[in-house]
Amino acid sequence: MKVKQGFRLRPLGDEFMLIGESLEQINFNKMITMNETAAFLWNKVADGRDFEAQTLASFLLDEYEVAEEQALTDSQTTIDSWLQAGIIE
Amino acid sequence: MVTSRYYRVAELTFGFTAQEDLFDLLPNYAPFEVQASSADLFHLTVSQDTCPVDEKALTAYFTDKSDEDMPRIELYQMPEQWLLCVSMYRDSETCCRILASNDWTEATLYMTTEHKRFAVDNAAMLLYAFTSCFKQALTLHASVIKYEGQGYFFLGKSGTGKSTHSRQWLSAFPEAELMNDDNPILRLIDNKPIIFGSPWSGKTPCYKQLCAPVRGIVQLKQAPENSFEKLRLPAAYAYMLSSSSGLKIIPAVMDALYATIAAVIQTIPVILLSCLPNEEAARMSYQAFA
Repeated sequence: MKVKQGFRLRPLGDEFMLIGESLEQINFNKMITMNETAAFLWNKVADGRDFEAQTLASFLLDEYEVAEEQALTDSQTTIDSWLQAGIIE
Repeated sequence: MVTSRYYRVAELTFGFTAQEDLFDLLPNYAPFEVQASSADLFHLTVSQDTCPVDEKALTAYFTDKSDEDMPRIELYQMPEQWLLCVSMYRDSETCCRILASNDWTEATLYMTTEHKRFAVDNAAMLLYAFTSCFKQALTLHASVIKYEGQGYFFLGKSGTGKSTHSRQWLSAFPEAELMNDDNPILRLIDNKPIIFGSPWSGKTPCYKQLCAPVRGIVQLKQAPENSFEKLRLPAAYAYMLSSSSGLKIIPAVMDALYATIAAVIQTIPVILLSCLPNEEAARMSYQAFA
């Protein structure tokens, strides 16, 4: 998986918004809201590196007190929702 | 004879240099005229000549053509300049060209239309939006009411009923006043959102040198009955951003718009009003901020 280019993650109150702001995403008329954990993961892969659920899980394990199995499940859920939103490919 | 005049809108100054008689066509700027010799934002010179740059030789950096009955805007980037081409409608010929410095502070307008006021208004409004966004200002597409010393403004796509909702306020509250009906300026001054009248007001001649602290922001939606909900921050942000003019494809502009909008919506409540065009809707939108 890779993030699509042209998105910008911006904080707003205690949430984060992912907005298509560049010419590549000018017609992306949706705004994706993320909580702090999802935003943390997005920032880790925003440079366009390849990732899979295992990659995200290892970021979670480094940052948060979480069981390995839970980290992997959460990472897969995150990837599924990002795929559905059309912000990764 | 060529002459220069200066105007102050939302406490920011800009200037025009043009043939004396052109100013007769621009009564909407008169309430904003000030004695000044330099501009905070931009200086627009209205030329009698033909634009020295032909856009046909260039590739558009960006084209904004949304509605059939709205102007089309094409932007061309050159080494030290921008060229902005504006047509009256989405599918009509370009009728004004604005050649501007990289930072938009110095610009020349070339017109090939008899609708000179249309050309000057569009050029000035775009330049105002492009330069004022760095001074905590938003050039909004909104209708604004001042009531009990406070500003309420109404957002929505063209045809949603912004002007109609303002008229309902005027009949529901006899003391209410229309401040602007199309393009007011919202500015953060000492971190407080203040709404200002402007020389641009769409079809309604309402060019008032007025300002008011903002009490409430209303996104309008047509519905078979009246109801409202307070919007969460991300939705409020999306509505405010889509109602703000500016070169959103330039990252520094988006950074500035984001900072201003985020500060405004964390201070002022934003509601979504699903409504009919009636006085009850006006009273409901007032009550939402009471």
